[in-house]
Amino acid sequence: MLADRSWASRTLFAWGTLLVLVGFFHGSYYAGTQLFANEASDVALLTQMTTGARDSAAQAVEDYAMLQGQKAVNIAAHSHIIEFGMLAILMAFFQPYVFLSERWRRIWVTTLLAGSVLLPVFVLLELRPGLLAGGIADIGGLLVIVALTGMLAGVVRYTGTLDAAAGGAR
Amino acid sequence: MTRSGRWLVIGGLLLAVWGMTYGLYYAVFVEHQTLDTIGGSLTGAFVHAAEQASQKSQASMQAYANANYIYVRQVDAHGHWIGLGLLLVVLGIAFGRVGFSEPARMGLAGGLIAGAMLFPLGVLMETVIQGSIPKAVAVLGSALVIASLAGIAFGFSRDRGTA
Repeated sequence: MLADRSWASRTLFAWGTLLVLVGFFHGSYYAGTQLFANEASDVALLTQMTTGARDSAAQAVEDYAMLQGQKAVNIAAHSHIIEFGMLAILMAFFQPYVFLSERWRRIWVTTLLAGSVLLPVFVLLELRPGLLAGGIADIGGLLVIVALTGMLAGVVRYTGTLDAAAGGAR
Repeated sequence: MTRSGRWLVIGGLLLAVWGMTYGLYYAVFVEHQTLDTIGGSLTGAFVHAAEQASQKSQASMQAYANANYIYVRQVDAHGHWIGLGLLLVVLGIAFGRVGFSEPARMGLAGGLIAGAMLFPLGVLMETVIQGSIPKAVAVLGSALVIASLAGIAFGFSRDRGTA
């Protein structure tokens, strides 16, 4: 498994590690610059709900929902990009068993990595352009699913005796 | 497997075992009590506010803030230890493919292991020590992880099968 030095394998190892790095960096940045402020806002808004007048309390509830949204997208974005990075590294191990032509292996690797970047980036942007960003993030997720299915098809082909008898992938 | 790779696998497994042990301890002895405190104090804050007892409400809100602050860090720390441990194991298996000399790979492995231990430790220290020391430990740990991962990604990209 580790002997494979193909473009697909090298690219998945390098980009997978890079995705983990980016996710870790974003998580650290969020923890260092926003986590404490968000926690303070959390308590301040809850206090405003309990002590403020009706309008003020209503505004606090609205702001609280937005704050929870901010937390959720930051946590989701950094954890998704790290998970996709780990997935890319794991898929790098399996590349010798993806019994497809080099061209198709490259297509699925590029698709996987494109989806792995698109989803977390647009999850992070969901609070601004809203639905459009959410839709693009969903497309990113779909790309990852399609790429994994493509690679899975290659792995299934690898075990087929007919393909083995034919002498190689076309 | 290279020596550096073996160090990463061993370090990663130790880190994962440590993180899981800590998580188990936390789940059995601390978590449920903490969640009760979080829920109870938040409920108390609203109930006291409805009863116009603003001082009691403030006290309950402060109890909620303190419990939540600790809970988030305890959960994050053990989760990050385990996650980083698994990353170390996976990278360790393929570490021979990092296209650098073995001493350079040992340096990257050492940096990654140290960072993976220190970063969650700094986060956890924030719950018991006030001031900048815990933050400095967390920042140092994350800087080590980021720098090591950058080196490893570059090393993977220049691998041509000679390592």
